[in-house]
Amino acid sequence: MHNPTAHNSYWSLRLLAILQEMAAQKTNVVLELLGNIGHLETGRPYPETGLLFAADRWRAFYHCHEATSMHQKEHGHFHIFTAIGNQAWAHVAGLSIDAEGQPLQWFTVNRWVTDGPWLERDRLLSQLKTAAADSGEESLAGRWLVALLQLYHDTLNGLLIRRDEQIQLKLKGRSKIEALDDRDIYTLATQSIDLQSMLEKHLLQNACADAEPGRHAARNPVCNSI
Amino acid sequence: MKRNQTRMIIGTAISAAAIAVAIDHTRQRLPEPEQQLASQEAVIIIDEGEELPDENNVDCGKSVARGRRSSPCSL
Repeated sequence: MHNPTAHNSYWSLRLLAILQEMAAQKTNVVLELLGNIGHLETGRPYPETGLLFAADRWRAFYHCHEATSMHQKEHGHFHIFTAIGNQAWAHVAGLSIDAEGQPLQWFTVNRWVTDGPWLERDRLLSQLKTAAADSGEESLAGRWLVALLQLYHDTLNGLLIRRDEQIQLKLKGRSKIEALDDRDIYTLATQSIDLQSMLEKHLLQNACADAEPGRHAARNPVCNSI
Repeated sequence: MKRNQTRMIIGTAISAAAIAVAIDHTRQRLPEPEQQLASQEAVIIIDEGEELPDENNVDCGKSVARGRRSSPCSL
């Protein structure tokens, strides 16, 4: 899908359908992952070996901190990885979640935090293009993650640009490898999420902006009210 | 043609209220995280001459001894 407007509209629709499915079950992405656990432990990844999704080429786990957090309102966060061959997984981004299971922000961390290979931005974005969740066997949480990653493609691009800028700024005469292993450098970039605004933008505003004057827009009362 | 159909579906079926309701109904309280049970705490081996773990240096829920090559948020 090369048309950005069509891409965003498509994934907004997909995500809205997933949210409606979750709403009907009174659940959200984290509750889906946790299932019927007795209690949630800090430091423990959920699920233990990570959730495989998007044809098992993507993997994510959720966990909570004991003391520090990535965001003031954070309950816990996802770490999202993509398979790059030879059983290696590269970290793409973190995703902070609030106490009601809603996404708060994207973030990137230094390489040492998540280990594994450090992928260039273009390669990560290329990986993202291949992520889809069309299989009927895909979990609800997996479909939610794919839809969010796709919907926030441009945001992730900007986040990764700032990640790379931060690493460049922190080289200070060192090699990149040394900077990526510097334990004093933890978070590299963050970007807040407003899911409702994002969906409204792509499902309502863009739909109305694209509509031919006097035709589709006129049929949609929402277009006249925004 | 297909694009126009998509626009019409969007235009006729989705409203700001529908988006808000879907999101609101997924607002479900998550369980409060509890500290790991003592029996499950990780044992950190400190090599000779190495710094002790800093209690404040807890990232991704795991204690990290500075200078070690551990990665607290790895798979």
